[in-house]
Amino acid sequence: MQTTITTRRLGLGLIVATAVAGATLAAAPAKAADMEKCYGVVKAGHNDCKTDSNSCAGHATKDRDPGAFIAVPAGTCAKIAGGSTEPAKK
Amino acid sequence: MPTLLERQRGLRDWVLAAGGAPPLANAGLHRDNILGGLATVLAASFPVLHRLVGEACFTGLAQAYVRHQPPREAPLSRYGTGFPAWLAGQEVARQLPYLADVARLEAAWTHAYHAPEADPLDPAALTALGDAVEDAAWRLHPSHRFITSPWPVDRIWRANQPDAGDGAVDLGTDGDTHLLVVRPAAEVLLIRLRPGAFALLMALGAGLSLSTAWNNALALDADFDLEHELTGLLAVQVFTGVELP
Amino acid sequence: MGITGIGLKARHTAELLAGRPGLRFLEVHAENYMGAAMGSGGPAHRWLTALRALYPLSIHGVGLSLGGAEPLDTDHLADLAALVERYQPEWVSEHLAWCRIDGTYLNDLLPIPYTTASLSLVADHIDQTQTALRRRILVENPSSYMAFPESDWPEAAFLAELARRTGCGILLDVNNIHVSAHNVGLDAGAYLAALPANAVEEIHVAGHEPVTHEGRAVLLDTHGAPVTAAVWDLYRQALTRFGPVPTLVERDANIPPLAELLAEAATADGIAVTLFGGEVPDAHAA
Repeated sequence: MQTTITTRRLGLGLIVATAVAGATLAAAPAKAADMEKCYGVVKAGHNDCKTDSNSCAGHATKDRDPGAFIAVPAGTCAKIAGGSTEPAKK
Repeated sequence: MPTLLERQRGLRDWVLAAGGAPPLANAGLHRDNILGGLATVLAASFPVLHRLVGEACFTGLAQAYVRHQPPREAPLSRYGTGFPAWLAGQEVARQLPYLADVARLEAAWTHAYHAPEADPLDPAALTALGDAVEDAAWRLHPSHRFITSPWPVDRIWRANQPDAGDGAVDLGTDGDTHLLVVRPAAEVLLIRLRPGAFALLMALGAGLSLSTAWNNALALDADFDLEHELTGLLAVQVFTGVELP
Repeated sequence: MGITGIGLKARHTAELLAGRPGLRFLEVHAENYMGAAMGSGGPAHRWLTALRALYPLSIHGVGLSLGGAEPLDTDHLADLAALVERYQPEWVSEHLAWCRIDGTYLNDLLPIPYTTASLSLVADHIDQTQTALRRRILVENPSSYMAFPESDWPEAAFLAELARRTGCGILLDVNNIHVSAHNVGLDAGAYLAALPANAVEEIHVAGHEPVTHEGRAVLLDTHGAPVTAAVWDLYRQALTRFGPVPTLVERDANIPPLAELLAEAATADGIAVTLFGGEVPDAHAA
């Protein structure tokens, strides 16, 4: 609590003003030379997600066994080490 | 002959139920297109989840979810908002306990991606307030979402991007994750915050005053440095305005 | 400038903006730019805004459920009106199909039986839409796989009567006619002859793929392959009857490099040139 009271005396206005000055230096405005800087990366699939075709017919419901999806492919572990199923301690 | 309403309810019931005789020949083509199409939509919104569990497992999960909660609106960009919470109750989420939190992160990312545009806070307007900033209400960018997890979900997310290297994520380190997802301009940012900065931003986002937010941050972290953290938050342009009452 | 446009796809956006190939228009699916709390910002809208400055636009709805037995979703209709107001497209189109029942959306364009009762219902929905948007819309013929025993109107006559009653235009998908002719037994030539010559304001061409479903050979409207020779033949017949109508080359799956789509667009333009004269612009050459 002692820390709180001492720091508070500096004045919020001054702290905020210093932070604004620091942030302005930190955020050097990106030169909008490349188009993705201006428009962003269009996530493939996201703007194609509802179509007026039947492109998904015929290969959707081959496996309707409700238990089938519980198995987890081994590939999962390639990117994740540790293997623990308990969270790391906080 | 069935009425149009009976026809349409009959087809819906048949598509969303598993099994039974089709109402008309070739109805199965439509069923497959609907369920396959919605699984594709979910895979586009949850690409990391798709990669973590693999194609067969993901498609099974997606089809079970579609039958549990089919879309309620025609635009599908936010279909699957309820997918992470549903996933948390599935057996696969008990086997891989970080999975539902990864899904929550991906849902937040999708929200941020499609959110409305908003201009960043004008720094001059903020400094002009002086000490009256204490009474101001802060406005956060409409794209923002907060995520906490006991797992390093940001590292899992990054390691499973298409352009990621070969490095593996150690589940035993970097847990207790506090994330800000926000799209201040064209690009979605995924930012890991210290717990104090996270508490400060949550409080400001909830409309609390700067000194209350500061106290919340200090309660979590006695060494919390307001000036330093505020500098970082202003630089990523998570704020869009400050208003005096 | 030819008569042909293409659908706007995520992977082609940067290349279109940088290269600005000569195209009559770009077409987007309305629902990919809609949504209540979302859908007003982000990369998809930023790119569309930039491209709209370069090309005329066609907004093609796939989720209004004009053939739905329940009332139209007025929130959806209001969102669509806002999108149309924002982007000022040259055409707005929807489908002779349904996708919504009791508030649940099924991600497909589902066929309706063609009866006098369903005709009145769809006509009312088209009227309501045109009133909300304050403009005419075009209505597209669906691809059919199921035949309803209660249908007592031929599809083309049903569409013609809708156009007569509501003043809407027709978006003629010649690939859909081709696959429906195979799947449920339509006469493609008679279909074209039954439509009013002045109501067809846009044409779609697309690829389809043969599959076997429950022992039957079916042509599936996948939009996932190049346009076939048979569909180009039907397209030639359609242009002969309806004139040089603006045409979309549709591709929604197995999306190829932009140059391949531009080459298909050039094929359509080439057919128009052989029938009506004029020149295919160089920009269409792959």
